[in-house]
Amino acid sequence: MIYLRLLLLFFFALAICLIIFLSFYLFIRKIWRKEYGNWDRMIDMLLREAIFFHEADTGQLAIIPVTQRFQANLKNRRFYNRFVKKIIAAKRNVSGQYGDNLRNLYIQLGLDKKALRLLGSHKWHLKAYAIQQLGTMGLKEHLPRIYRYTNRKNALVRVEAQIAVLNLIGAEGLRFLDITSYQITDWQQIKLLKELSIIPQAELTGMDKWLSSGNSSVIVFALKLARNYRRYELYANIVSCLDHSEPNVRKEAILTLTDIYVENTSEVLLARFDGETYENQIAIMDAIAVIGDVQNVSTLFSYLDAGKAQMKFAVARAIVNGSANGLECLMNDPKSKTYPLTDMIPQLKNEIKW
Amino acid sequence: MSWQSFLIDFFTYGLLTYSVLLLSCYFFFATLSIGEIRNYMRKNSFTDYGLLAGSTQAPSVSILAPAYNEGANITENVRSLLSINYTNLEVIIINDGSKDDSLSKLIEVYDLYKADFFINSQIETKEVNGVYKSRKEVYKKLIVVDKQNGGKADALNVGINVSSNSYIVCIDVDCILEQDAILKLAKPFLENTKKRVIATGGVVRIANSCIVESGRLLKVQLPEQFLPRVQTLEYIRAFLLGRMAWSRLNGLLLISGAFGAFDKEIVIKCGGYNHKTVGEDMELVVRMRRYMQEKGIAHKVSFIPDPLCWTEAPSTFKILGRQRNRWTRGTIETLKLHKVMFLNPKYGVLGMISYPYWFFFEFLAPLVEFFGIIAFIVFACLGVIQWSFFFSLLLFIFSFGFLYSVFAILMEVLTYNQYKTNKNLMALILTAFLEPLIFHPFVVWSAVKGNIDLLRKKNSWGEMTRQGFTKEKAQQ
Repeated sequence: MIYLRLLLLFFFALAICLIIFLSFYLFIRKIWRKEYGNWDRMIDMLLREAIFFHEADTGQLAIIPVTQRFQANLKNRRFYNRFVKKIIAAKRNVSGQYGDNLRNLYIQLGLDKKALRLLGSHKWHLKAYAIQQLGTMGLKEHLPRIYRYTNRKNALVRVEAQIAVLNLIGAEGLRFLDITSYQITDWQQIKLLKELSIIPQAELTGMDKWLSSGNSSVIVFALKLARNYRRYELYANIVSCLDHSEPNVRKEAILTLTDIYVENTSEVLLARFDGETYENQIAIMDAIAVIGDVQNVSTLFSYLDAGKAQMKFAVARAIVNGSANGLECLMNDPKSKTYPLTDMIPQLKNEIKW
Repeated sequence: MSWQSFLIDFFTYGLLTYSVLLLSCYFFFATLSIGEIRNYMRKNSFTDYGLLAGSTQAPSVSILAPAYNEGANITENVRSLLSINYTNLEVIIINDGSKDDSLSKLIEVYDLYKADFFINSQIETKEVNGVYKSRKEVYKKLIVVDKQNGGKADALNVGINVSSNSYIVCIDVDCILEQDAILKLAKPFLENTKKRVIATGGVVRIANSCIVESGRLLKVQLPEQFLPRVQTLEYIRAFLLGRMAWSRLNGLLLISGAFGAFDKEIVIKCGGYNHKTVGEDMELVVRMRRYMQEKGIAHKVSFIPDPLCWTEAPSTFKILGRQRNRWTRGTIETLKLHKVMFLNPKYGVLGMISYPYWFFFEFLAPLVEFFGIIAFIVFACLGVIQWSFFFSLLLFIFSFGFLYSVFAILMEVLTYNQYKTNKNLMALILTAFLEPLIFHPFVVWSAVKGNIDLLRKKNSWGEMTRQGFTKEKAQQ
């Protein structure tokens, strides 16, 4: 029983310690909040001055006036983090001379050196933080060092490095796709596509190589790129992806062909229908419904006998949209008088109307 | 040693061992969740959810919101859902045979017409009376389904049949979602390459006393009433400490029915929600995981610690009792349906850790506690054990409970800090002190009643009357 009482006292004591810590933390946080208000004013003022800073062209790096108090504050970790967050956000929102001024300020304050020190850290989040700073600030001189991280094991470090490389050298930075041995997740692909969309249009080279990469996620990404940038010249490479061993690659190829198609694309897709997975068969029918141009719509009717209603509906939609007289053909077919086509046809008619 | 004293010793030390094991589990969860939350927050600092909002590459999501007699607030709740910031989204409201004017209100406000709509009935449900769409382009994301009453699970199954997207988000129609809730819930589905993410859950918080206007949360406030406040603390503890730890172990068996996202393909393959249980939310997750394990597909159920969904908690003992009674029955029914997983190594973490934990410490805990206390009181009255021992044991449990709650409050302050003022936090600490004396015994009693009701084969949900949220106008 003595142990029970000791434990009981220990728990109460620990709870009281936590409450004291909580109260202390709340008190400190209150002081910090006041501090943050002052700091934000100070930082905003400097960033504003830096953005609009203009000095006669002397051929040298412009020195933006920074108070000693500000420099001293930068030694404080919380102030440093707050400043870096704001300067990164500001840099993302401005370009040209304004952006160059912010980069100069960043270098002038020695933050690049600090970021390089963080890059050497063993902690992944600090590494990623450093890469993010160097990339956003456009410090091209550090490209070789950052590039090495584009194929690192830690996913976040890897993604930040890939984004940073794009920031530094634009679409050319996608060359990391040549060597990456890790899967590029869908989330990462969305990030990369977004980053590419804000980079001034540049010639994307090497896509044919990525479309035959050994890394399936690279192929999927390349297919998305081909779709987004309407790369019709890659049509043959995209069609060859329809024969890839992985269903998700084939599905992405079908989706890409929905946007990049030629006269016989529907026939090309139909030719692969029987050998496809159920999910990809649905994707093929959806693609045909968009592309149309089915030379002989009657070939689609044989698929109407497919077991699942989902497939029947996809096939019916492909028939209706696949050719100019698709709806008429479907209505004339005896199957159209049977369930579930009786329920599907009114909806398909409405879809055409809309 | 006589057999009586052996029996008493066995009972006493057995109960003590059980308590120590349970407390050790809590301690283990707390430790695990610290690391998981820290990791999540670090990763989150590099995440721009805005990317997903406008991206055509974002996964397509259908929000399924069953509604039964929600006429009072349904148009506002739907407006709130339609304002969610996400491109590939459809909002499906399932009117589960409401007896009030829910449907006519929706038709009027959103200019709905009965559309020709083919329902792919992949899951068997009660009959659908009609599918409605809006004539207005601005509401093109909205689909309203009118069906015969069949309960929440049946309504959700209809929603699954009607939905055209790859992922479904099941919510209670009266829940208030944060603007970025769907973005945060969708992201885990895009991230994993080695394991298929089959479901994602988010933190549900208590909205009583919060200020709500037009279906939007304007100001977070700690509930003024004791019962909702104590549930606030309970939810913080359960979500921030419990579920984060289970997520790290990849052993989550429950995603709140109020707010969760699922991979539709797997849901359909598993047969959708089970309408024969009152714990359909837990049962579906367990069935999905069991299916994946049996198929040998690596999978994961993710959990997001951000507060994403706000709901009204019961504010009377009567309603709370019904809710906890139902939760207990739901847990037992689920455990019974999937008893094959119990300590079965074929099911990995689920069979060896998650299921046994739920069996011993979620299902049995209230029974052990209830009968243990009665037995101790009897023993003490008979003079078999000392009263001082009895009270020491009670205080021991009480002190740990208090410590655990205080730790949860600390975690809340260090992470999301929704209740910012010192007054609120002190109120939460006081609540943590009072909870084991008032709230906990009631919850235990409701759970015991749940067991009794299950034995009596009672299968009803029990009416859940809600008071409605605080509106700013009312405050002014």
